[in-house]
Amino acid sequence: MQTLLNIKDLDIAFNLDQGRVNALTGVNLRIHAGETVGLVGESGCGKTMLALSVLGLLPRPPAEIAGGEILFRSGDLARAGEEELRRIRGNDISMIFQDPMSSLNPVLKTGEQVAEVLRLHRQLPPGRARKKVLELFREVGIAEPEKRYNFYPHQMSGGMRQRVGIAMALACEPELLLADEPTTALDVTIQAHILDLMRRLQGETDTAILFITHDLGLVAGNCSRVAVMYSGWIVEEAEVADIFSNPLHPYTRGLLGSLPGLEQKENPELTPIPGSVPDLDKLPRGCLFHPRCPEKRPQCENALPGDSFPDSGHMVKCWLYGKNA
Amino acid sequence: MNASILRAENIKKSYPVSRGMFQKSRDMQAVRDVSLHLEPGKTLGLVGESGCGKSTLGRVLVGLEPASAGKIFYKDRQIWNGSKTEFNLRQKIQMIFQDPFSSLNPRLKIKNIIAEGLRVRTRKQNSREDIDSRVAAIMEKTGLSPEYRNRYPHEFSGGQRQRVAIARVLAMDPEVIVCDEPVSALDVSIQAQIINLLRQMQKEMRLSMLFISHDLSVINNISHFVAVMYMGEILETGPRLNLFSSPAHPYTRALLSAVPVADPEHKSGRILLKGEPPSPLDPPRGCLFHPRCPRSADKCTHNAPHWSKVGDGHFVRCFFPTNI
Repeated sequence: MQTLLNIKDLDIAFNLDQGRVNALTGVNLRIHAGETVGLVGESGCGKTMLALSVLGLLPRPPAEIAGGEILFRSGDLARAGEEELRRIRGNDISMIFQDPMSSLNPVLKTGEQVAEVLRLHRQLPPGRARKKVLELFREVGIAEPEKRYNFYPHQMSGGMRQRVGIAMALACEPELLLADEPTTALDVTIQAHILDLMRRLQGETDTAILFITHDLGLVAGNCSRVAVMYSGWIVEEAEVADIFSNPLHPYTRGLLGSLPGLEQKENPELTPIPGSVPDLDKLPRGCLFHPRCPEKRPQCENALPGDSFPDSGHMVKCWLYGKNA
Repeated sequence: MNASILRAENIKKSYPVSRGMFQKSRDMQAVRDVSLHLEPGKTLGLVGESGCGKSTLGRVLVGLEPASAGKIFYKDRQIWNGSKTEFNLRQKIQMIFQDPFSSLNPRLKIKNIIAEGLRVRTRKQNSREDIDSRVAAIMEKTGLSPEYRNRYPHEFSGGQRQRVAIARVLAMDPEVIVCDEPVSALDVSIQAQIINLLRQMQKEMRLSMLFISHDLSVINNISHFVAVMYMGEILETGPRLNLFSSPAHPYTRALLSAVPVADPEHKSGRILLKGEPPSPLDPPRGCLFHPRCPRSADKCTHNAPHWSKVGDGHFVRCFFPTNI
């Protein structure tokens, strides 16, 4: 398979008043054409940062790409200029944001917002842009597109707005779609529709998707590969089936043990992870997970573990699996 | 039927919605005709999508909002009807809110947040030492180190704040707790800690809980009984195992099928519902669910279905429930 996006050893730091904090540390991630890669982790672990860095949308300053590369096609997005990024954004790589309330411009008609993308990137004249938007609206399941074209975001429900967001993201048939918690703000029945829609459109256009979520259930149903993130660090990466049948990292196991399922048993007891996620400015020494880890060993407190089994397709960063730092 | 500790009969709650200066305001019915009861030591899970009226119902039950119609009984005594004895009742019926960031007073120390109710309850007869030791004991119980007693809410994470909210409630020695999405704002690993804490407290103190959530997996984990709400009405109710293993209402079936399951082998068999919930200002005629229902028939568009029994304690409001 052809590698579409190759993130290598990416470090992102924030220069804040209280000092410098590392938001991402040594992140490696490859996305192949047409596949869906899940990126899971809890709030503040850096999932969104990663997506924003790919699009050059990090707030710089205070954020800074301190090291590493983001290879897309032949260029390095980490070092690309604003001109080049603008050509790529919304065109080759686009993004669906979590909150459909705040990601649309409240004073522009939704149809116009989508048309803008087409005018900018495809240089479509207004009439043809409008026609294409109506087509897109129909495709993402917005009923009565002619009427909805003139709606402002506040006149639509959350699910409808997210459909507009998807229409906008897919307008230029991007090669890569960064979906940042696209269904988190939606009800389950609406979520089911949106996921269905994304899957169908992906089938038609062969777009690769980076699916960012905190919900392992969504990963199981929608992704082929998954990376688990903790405190700005990818701790495990594998095929979806492997992660669920054979989770290696204690954090991944903890996440799975914390999930309430739909089992029809008496008293399904949960096994939560003790403690809570550390603040980025108070990261522990050694393995970032060790203060919460049930399988902590002495060396965990002193040094970061390296990648174990990096070439097997099931990478894990943990001292339990040898000390190949 | 076991003796119920809290019982609601035909609760209705509506809010006037203004339609501009020259038009009469209309009523928006947030809760229409809901009856339910809570048993001691048991949890009733109330599940529904956003805007279905589940939080409004919770607020009416604890007396934060007056019901527009209907009666609420606490141990066979009617409450929230304006009688003088209600002061004591408020202690017995407590609430935990969704957002631990806005439900704690940012200017009070943790110990005072927890002690505030305690002082009121004991009418200031307890000595300061007494209160302090009670606060320490409750903090310990809810997994908060008593060393933190002099800190302010902003110094805590979301999960810890929710523990403070639980400690504040437990200090009142309540019998009924209405939990309004208490874990929705929390991360998965923390969510599991709080669910376990609530379950443990329930066991120790024989608490009766109404657990409001949009998350069916959480509801499945914590509830003994479940009620499914849609547009201000309960559509199906029954013991958890019956309801989850053999859901009878098409809405319940669709909800359950839409839950993402953390198992790549799982075959979803997703039932996609048509459209979105209609506006509560303009509810459909007949069965409230019929515009989205895959089984909807002519009858459903004219008449609202009554309750029918589909199993032991398992009732459904549908003309065509799934046979079991």
